[in-house]
Amino acid sequence: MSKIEIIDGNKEYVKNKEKIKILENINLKFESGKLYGIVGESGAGKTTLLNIIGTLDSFTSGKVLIDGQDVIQLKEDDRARLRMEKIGFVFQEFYLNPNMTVEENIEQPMFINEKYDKTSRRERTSKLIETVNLTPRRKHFPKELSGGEQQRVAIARALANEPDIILADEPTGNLDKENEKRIFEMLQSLSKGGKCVIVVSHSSKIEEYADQVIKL
Amino acid sequence: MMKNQIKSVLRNKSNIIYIFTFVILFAILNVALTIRPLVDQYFDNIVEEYSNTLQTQLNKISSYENIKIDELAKTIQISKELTDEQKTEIENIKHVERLEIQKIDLEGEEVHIQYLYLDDWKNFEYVNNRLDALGISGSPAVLDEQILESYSTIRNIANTIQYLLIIVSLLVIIVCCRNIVKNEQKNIKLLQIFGYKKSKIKQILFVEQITMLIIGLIFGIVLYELLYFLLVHEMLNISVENNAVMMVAINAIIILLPAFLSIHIKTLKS
Ligand SMILES: Nc1ncnc2c1ncn2[C@@H]1O[C@H](COP(=O)(O)OP(=O)(O)OP(=O)(O)O)[C@@H](O)[C@H]1O
Ligand SMILES: [Mg+2]
Repeated sequence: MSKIEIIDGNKEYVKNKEKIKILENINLKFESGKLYGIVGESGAGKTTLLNIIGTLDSFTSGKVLIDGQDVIQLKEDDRARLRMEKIGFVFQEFYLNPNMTVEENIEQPMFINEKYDKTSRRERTSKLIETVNLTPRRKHFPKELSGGEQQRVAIARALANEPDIILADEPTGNLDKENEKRIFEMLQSLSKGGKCVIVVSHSSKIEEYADQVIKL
Repeated sequence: MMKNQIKSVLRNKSNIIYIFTFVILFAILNVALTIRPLVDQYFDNIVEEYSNTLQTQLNKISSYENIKIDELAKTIQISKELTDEQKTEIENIKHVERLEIQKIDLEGEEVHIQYLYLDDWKNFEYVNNRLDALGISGSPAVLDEQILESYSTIRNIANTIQYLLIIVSLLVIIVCCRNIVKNEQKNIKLLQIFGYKKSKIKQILFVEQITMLIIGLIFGIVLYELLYFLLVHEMLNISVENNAVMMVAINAIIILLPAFLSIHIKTLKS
């Protein structure tokens, strides 16, 4: 069974009574332990697709199966639970809470996870900060960090609840070459570690790291 | 979790402005709540002074020695002869303590004067209106009608100001709370992405609002006490007995209602 399977996915918006088709007849399979690159022109629906996989949006028709379960059928609270347990998100603009420290940002998704008590949450936070090499910066606020550092915080945060799936929407869009390399390597090592990593990217570099590139 | 959330809300500079607004509004609100008792107290003092002066004058005349003016100041006089039925009706009016009939021998003719003792002179207007409805007319036994008239006018003005201030501060606080939640949209979205349930997010927002409002209330009360001490106590030299239960209740409503309304705005529907 694939980690994620999309069957006959269609997405359209109705604006001023006019139908705009964004995604048409999408059939895709994503496996654990692999890094997928999604490329395509601006407006091709890459973000839309990623949001649908991440249960933040849904198809007009079609199915999304995660571990064999049709997520579109789920109730809102169950979808929220599925996101908490299985999915980590990384965004182009990092999307950190500007009024929380590095530590607090990374800790935030763990509060709703019964798996952690206070001690184990703290331990995991420290470990994650260490993984992304930001231990000396743990008390800093996002605005005191460089773009690359902020994206590392975002990756650490995406990993907080040990998800099987990492969805990254242009994670290197705001970064220089050096940092782009670092982030791609990080995402690659996550896929090597068994996670299913899906990266939307405009960068040609993605082809070097991805096991499979999907063009929309 | 709440601790981190609240810390982040308090670190947000624009929220500091809202808290400052809350401080001012709660101070104004509580000043407004003091206006009515202040007016009442002010007039109580006038009535007391009035009765004292009258008493001193009467005491000089030996035949009036037994008359207690401070009691009579709370008394309505009815000269019309009352039926037994009317008497019971009158005794059942709120604020009426008792009905007393005095027989006065006026040059061989016996005249009945009926005194209606009230719990407070401030209830004259209320009881008089009830008497009017029964077709009976009464007038204050000793109290100057002018005092009653000016009390009635000033009390109405005070009431209007009080309600206006309460409504205005409530509305401004509601608008502030809505804006606070609107400014939190990005973080709300983030929490949804992490998989926080909607009910949990609402709970977080509610606690955030309540925290900010309570901080506003605490400093607002301090500011109010300061204003009260300087203006009322020092300048007017009046001490007012506030209705503590009512003040707590109104402050609580003004904290809970805006917080409750703000978390139900439609922007929460993803
Ligand atoms: N809520 C919406 N209502 C109407 N149209 C929308 C809505 N959201 C997205 N779209 C349209 O869907 C199309 C796909 O958007 P999407 O953000 O998925 O593109 P993208 O491939 O991520 O583009 P980019 O590379 O610029 O990020 C765009 O044409 C966009 O205008
Ligand atoms: Mg996009």
